[in-house]
Amino acid sequence: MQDDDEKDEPLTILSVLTGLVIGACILLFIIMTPLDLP
Amino acid sequence: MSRRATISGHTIVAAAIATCALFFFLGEKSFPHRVWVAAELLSLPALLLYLWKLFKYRRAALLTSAYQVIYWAGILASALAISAGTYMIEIERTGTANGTYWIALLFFVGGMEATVFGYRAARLAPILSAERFSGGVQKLAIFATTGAALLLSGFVFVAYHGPVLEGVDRVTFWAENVPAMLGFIPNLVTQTFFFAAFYYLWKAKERRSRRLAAAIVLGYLLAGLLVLGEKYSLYVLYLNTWLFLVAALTPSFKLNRRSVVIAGIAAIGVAAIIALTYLTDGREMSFILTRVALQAQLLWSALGPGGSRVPSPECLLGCGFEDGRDYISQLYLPQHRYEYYASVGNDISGFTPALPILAFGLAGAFGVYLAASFVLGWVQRRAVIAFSSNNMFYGFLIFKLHFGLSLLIATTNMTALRGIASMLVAIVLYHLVFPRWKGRTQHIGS
Repeated sequence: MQDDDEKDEPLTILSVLTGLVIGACILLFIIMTPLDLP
Repeated sequence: MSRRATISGHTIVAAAIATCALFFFLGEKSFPHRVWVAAELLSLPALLLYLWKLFKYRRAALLTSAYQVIYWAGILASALAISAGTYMIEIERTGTANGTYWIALLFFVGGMEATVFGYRAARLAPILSAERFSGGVQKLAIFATTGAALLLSGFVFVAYHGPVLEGVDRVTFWAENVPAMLGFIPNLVTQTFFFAAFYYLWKAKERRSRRLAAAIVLGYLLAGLLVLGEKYSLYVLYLNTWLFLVAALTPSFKLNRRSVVIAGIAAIGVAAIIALTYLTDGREMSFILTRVALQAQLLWSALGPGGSRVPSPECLLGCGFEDGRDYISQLYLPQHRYEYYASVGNDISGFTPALPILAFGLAGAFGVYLAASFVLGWVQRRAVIAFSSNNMFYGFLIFKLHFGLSLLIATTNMTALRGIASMLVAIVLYHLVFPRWKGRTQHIGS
């Protein structure tokens, strides 16, 4: 098994920002569309 | 085995089960007690054979149908308990054999066949591609979502100790012990588990280290139990999410002895926890049987004495009552319980296929259910296509759409339509904002 983080593609500032912004959008989206468990 | 046999094996078993189910449904009341109990028990090996065939030859369609399978397993177990004469405490009737089990079996097997058919048919439709983001962006979004959910759960656990340590039930805990502004956390944990599962299986697919991913998944299991105070329904949802993603990311796994043992231990563990909570509530352990019988009480009622009502489609939406669920509840619950449940906001369960049968008649409800199951299978395939090309965000939207449809079908709760509509809008928006450019190889954010 390879070590995870070292073999991944290098992260650019753009991808870090994109990832975090999308993560925040998903959180907002999830909070706005709640699931009612039966 | 010949190609023809591998294609149609499960359909042949399904047809055989459906024929027997119809035969016993029409004749059940005329058989002596011993014969129908034996027939119901004998159908179980046939059902297992059917599921085994699906597992072997239609694995992705079966695994992505986990919620459907679990729902019907509950209805079937309940129908067995009812036909064995269990007293149904909510509707205050003693169970009899009126064919409930066979109708449930017919719906389950027919629905699964329709889902498998829909799953296969989805390949023929034109594939609308959507752009996917780079692995790095996906990973950061996973850390942002799961990190936020786990940190907030950790905060609630440290500050308010969770319902288990506090010794209160989860509804009381979240209503009284935790400030209202944190009330969104259970929903957040429930829905972001998807990203924890995706991360683990993504790493498994790429044969990389899964230690961090396993720790995140473990965090979700603990948060569900200790912070959310959930026992059964959350874990059904976790399981559904996990198996759905397994079908897409690591479909060729081997069923070895270790995984069977782990699954067995997990199942026994859940049953033990549920039994234990009944004991600590001062009930007998046999209450679990009484509880099981509640799931098919509405189907038993819809087929039972006075069951041959004139179908009234408008009752699916309530026909004068708040909604269809309210209508069927007042129809079969004793007046005092109906009023009490309405006042405390308690819902009964097992609305499908009872309510559709009241609305459309038995044959009509079966037709509607087959069509709905076909759509489920179709959507499942589209999600798997997205996931297997590592398109996590787009796949997540389709996965949520699928879960909304599953909830609508299982609970007949029309409020699910809002979620379904918003998912459809989100999917269209995704296509508009991130269309797939032909010949473009770079991914967004790389």
